[in-house]
Amino acid sequence: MNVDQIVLKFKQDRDFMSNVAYWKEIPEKDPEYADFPAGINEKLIYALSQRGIYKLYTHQAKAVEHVLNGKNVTVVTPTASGKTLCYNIPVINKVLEDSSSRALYIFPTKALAQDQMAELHELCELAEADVKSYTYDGDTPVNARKAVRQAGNVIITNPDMLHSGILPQHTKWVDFFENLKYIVIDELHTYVGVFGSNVCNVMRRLKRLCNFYGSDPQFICLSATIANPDELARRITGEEFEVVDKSGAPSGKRHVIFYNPPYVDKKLFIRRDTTLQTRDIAAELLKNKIQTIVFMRSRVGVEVMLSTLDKELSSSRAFGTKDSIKAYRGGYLPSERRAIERGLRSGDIMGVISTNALELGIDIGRLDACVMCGYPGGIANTWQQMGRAGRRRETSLAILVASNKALDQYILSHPDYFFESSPENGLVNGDNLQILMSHVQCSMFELPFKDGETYGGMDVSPMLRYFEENGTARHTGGKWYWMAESYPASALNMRSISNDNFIIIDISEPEHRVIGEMDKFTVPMLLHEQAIYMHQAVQYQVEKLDWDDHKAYVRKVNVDYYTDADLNVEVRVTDVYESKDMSDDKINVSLGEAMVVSQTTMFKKMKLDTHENLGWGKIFLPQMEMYTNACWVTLPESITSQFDKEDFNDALLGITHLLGNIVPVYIMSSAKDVNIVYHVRSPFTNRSTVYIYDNYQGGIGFAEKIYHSLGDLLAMAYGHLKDCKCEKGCPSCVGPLWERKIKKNSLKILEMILDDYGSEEKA
Amino acid sequence: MITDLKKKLDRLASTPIQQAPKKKHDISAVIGAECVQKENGGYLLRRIKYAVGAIYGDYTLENVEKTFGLKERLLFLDTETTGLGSVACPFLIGVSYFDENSLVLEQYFMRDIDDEACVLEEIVKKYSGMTVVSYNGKSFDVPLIKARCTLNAVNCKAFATKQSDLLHLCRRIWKKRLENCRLSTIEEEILKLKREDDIPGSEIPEMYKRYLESGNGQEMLKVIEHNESDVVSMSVILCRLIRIFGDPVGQLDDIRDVMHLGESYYAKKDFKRSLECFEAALKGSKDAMTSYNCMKYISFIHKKNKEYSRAVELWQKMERIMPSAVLPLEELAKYYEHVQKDIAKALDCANKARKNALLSGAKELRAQLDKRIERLNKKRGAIDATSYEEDFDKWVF
Repeated sequence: MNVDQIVLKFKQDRDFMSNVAYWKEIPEKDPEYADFPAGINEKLIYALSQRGIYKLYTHQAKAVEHVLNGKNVTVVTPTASGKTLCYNIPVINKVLEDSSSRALYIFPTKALAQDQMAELHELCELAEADVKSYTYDGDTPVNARKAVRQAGNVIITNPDMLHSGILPQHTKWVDFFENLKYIVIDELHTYVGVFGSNVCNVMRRLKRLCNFYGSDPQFICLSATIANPDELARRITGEEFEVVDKSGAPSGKRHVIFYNPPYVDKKLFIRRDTTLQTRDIAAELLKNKIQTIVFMRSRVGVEVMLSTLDKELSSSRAFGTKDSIKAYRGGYLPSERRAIERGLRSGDIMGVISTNALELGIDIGRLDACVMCGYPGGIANTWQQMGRAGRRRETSLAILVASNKALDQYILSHPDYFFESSPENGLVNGDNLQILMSHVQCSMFELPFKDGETYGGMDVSPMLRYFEENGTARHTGGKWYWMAESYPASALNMRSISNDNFIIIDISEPEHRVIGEMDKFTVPMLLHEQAIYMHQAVQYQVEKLDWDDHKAYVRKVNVDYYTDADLNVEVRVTDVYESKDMSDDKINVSLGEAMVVSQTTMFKKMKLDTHENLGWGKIFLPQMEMYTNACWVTLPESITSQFDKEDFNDALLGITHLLGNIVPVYIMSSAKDVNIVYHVRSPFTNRSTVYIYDNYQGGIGFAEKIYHSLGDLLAMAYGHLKDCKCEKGCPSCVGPLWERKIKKNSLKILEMILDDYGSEEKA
Repeated sequence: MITDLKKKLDRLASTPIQQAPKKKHDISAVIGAECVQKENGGYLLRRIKYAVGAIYGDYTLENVEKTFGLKERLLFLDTETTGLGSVACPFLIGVSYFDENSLVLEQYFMRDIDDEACVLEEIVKKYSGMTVVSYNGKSFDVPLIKARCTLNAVNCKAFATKQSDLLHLCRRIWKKRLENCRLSTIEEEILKLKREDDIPGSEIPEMYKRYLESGNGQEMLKVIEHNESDVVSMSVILCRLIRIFGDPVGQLDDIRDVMHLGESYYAKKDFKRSLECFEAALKGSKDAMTSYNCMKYISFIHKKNKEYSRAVELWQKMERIMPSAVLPLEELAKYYEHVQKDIAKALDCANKARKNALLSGAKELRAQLDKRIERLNKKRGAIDATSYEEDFDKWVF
């Protein structure tokens, strides 16, 4: 069957249609072409014609034109719109003009860099252009590096390598920096949060060095659809941009279906399990030979889905070979991932189940259908995931299977919100003090600061003096020198997830074997001792976790359960920036700095098919600490005392659950950007307190945003709860507690808070 | 944490910067140097002449250029830096060169780190074109000086275009016998020169930092003397090395050193010199291990030269010296299989080798031998079959 046929089949299926909350048909779009802008070398035009390209899409032509005119450009394009030509054309053109020209390509991951290399090579070969392009990252052999530095016209790298391997070694790259003409930043939208804030500073350092060597490169940025590509590009590079955001690429017709699983318990408002529902839909597609990608919300989810889907399909005669569905996620070894990517492109692999790891532009070809198990948490990444399905001419299908979560239910009942509002803002804060200070040190190490010299347009002299006071800098002869013996770049991790990964070792056989890796912050959740770790649907049990040496030893097992760890979070306020009492001795709202201490303490064993709780165990692991910004609401005794103690506890849990789902919608962030916890009696305020904090070391600006508009946020939450059709509370609002009073009490508490905010703010 | 920092920065921002430049300490008298002032700065220069013929442990200082009739001009170089990293500041650059009957030592000391540009300019100007002789300078001192030149916009293209690194040469000979090949170890073990009151190199960055704060020249004098010893003894070591490489057997007393030099030549595929070393070492060897090892290499060289009979003789000898060894038996098995085509003999040797491998617990080796034996067994079958066919043919026709 093709997609049009399966769509017809779904439409005729009354059961299926009764669960469809929303169905949108996005019409196909014809291509819009433009001629090559003047000034492009004939060799290159010939090479493109060899690849069947006689004209450019309008956005490509526009982008190339801007670059040729010496402007910085940001191109915002959907997946598969031929964005790479936007930079490969001007770069190759420049090298054809002047063979000493250099360009720097920056991709967020090594895998993407490899893909790009292949494409660039092909084009250069056709153009008979002697453009030497190399990847320069952790995988580049040490003995090849010198040649790469000296000869590479195009250096393809990632921000981490740029930060720790290129900038600090800039004296070995003199020729490169002197002749640097273009800096290409692809997947710009991934540079948000802590990572983006770091990348912003890496760019400041890069520009500082370019300035030292007398070059002034142009920037070419490429981004998926976000609300503020221009702003993000400007913030990350500190430059002004021309924005090209109208794609001329064609696209096939796309069906988007919001699917709400049927109620299994109408009284309790419990819907059928999302995973099971997703499995059924995916199985239906795969049985009909529709190449499908399934997006899960977690790594465990991916593995659980693979094993249940595998079982479902193996009983079907219509579905062929066993190996044609695969799991794909972080933690797999690169070789394994490459094999899966190849299989998807060639069509040998029919279905792939992935985390958001495949959201990025890794080349897996174009699939027919995409099924999302639960709302991915943000508008931008939902579009990214849906974009994985859809060829240029043919019809494609995207199905969002909603979970019981309030956020999912909100999206399903407000499809306009999803389709009409702009996607999330990419937020970066390059001036986050901790991040800034680390990079000023790196920058000083790279090049002494002159008196009066600015960094990223800022006067950093107080910081330099601070470094002198603690002995890491010396001010003499009008310059600030780095004096510490250490290498500042090595002390700094660029990503919120630390780079020091744990390796996972299979000890089932006498010959031990590394089967994967995992970042430090995920380890306590998934690799604690006795955890069931799944890898390509094979179950392993963690026998030993060596925390100090970063190793987890696992052994193959065959059990009918998976494990789920509980994360305990405690918020300790370390400073109050601002505070307002709503009225005397009543509700207090504050903004400040907090240390968030999280620790896994226990895990549950859950049955694979029914998700029943089969038992539990303890976890003994060190706690993780994070300093961040928080906004918190403290409730006075006058409110607390109106409730029975247990009822009050339930209501706080309910409100926390509700806010956890409303906040991302309200501040246009992704669900993981912000966390919410409550303390019935907070050690700091000595009262009942709800904390909302940025889920990033050092904070990124969400808590502040919430502090200044908390009234509106609470009103929105109140409105959602009140409008919820359930009687006593359900997973879509205050959570799955089903206590008679939880909804009533939550409403009452919110009402009292809103009263304090003044009646005009009440929803 | 963050807040404290913010407050501190705010306080710093609100107090005016001390505009007066830091006063430079003058320790010229303490270290016995003159103060050089140039247009763009200055530095301290310490200059000492060493007379040729001075005693250095078991050896004497010689004018290497003259003794060996070298055409190039040598510049011995060593730096002391403010850090262990590759982009630290070389606050002391010591060089020495021959001038007729003396070795001239010149040390450039930076009174503060902003003397750097001036020192680098001077060094590049004065010593470009000379062959830089150093101890680990190929990977440390020279790239560092070049990197610092780049940072200070000093053109250093003509500096250190030719280099010789003594560390690499010393390693070829003494790597295995000595605990390490540090310059001080070579001095002590080879030149028999004991340094007195020397400072550990790892403390030097910290000492310079202390000097910047206090202006105390006494500690710096120790650093300067440390650097001085390094730069001067390099010339004695070079002299020694040239002699050794010219005539290893005659110059090296310890037979193990000759053997190790043989191994280095072997690794560099200089089999002719390697063979000379091993044969000399074998002749002088007094213990079985050394003999065995020398024979191993000699046999490999013979094998490469296709002089099988000489190789086989050695493998048989090796087996007698060390009956439990796998290698000679394995080599013999290969020889019988591929050269002699005597499968039965080859099998016999391979089986013996396998037994030895089994006893020593060498897993990989055993697996390899298993494969060899399997193949040999197959071959034997095949040969038996062909010989039968040959006989059959004879009989029929």
